[in-house]
Amino acid sequence: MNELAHSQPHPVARYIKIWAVILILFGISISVAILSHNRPLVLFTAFGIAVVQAFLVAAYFMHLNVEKRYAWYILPSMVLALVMFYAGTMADVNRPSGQNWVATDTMRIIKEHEGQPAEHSGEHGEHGK
Amino acid sequence: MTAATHAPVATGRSATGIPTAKLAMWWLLASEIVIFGGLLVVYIMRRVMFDHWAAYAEHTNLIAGSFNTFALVTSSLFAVLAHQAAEAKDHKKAFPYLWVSILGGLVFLIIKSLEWSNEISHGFTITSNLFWSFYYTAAGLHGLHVIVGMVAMGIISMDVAKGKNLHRVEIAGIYWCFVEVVWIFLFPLLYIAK
Repeated sequence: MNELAHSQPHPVARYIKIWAVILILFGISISVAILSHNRPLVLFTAFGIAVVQAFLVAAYFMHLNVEKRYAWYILPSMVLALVMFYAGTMADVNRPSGQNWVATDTMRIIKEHEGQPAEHSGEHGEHGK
Repeated sequence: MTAATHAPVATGRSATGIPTAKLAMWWLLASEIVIFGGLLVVYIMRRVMFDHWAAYAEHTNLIAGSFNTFALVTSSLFAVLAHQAAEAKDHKKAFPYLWVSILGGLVFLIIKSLEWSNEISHGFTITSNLFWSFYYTAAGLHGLHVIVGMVAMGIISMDVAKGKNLHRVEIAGIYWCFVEVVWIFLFPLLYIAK
């Protein structure tokens, strides 16, 4: 191990606690998904917990908490680049049509499923089979 | 060649304050964020646009997904324990920890293959529709990363068994934990958002 590697102690007990916390959060996420019929609550809980779990893994399991501060910035900067890219294009790509264009496949899929209960949607409809 | 003279020069010096190998891993993961992030963002956008995808999502197996989450989280714990042992230069502990971690990946792949077999037998294939295309692409790309991580840890473990290149355990561990982070976001998208 080279001299640049940090030599802070990483007690096993702390890792096991973090592992347990991640699993408890996971259990909450699953429980809400099974027990609740409130879709916004289920989604908010699931994705909120996913963010916390990802933070715990990145900070403690990947040791970003003891890493040089700029290493923290490498990863979120990629997320930011992604958000900027999609924020700039989603006004168009998230619509089936615009002033001078129509996304024909998207329109067809939407029309195929318009007014249909989701359960009766064709399994092969979207590829035009 | 002894362990003492084996340390690669590239990992022993750094103007950045981070060992070169580890910094390279951070940049690799940065590119992975763009790959997986792009895939997931497009999935979310389509999911918002197509309400009927909820019906397709009903067919994904929550129990299999949950068990796989447990397998990967536990596997990551052992990757970190392997790193801790390697940092303490205890290669006799690091070696089995690495293999428990690999075993976690193997369990994940077995469950995933059973899950896919069941879905395919019910007619849900990658060509069925856009939802299943995304499902198999995202989960398949992730599975490919699991395989790569397992192979990398297996190769590294051969050196670890001899007490050589122990710093590589941390690099592999970082990659493995990232694979877990990707799954942490894939799981609610594919198994909970119904």
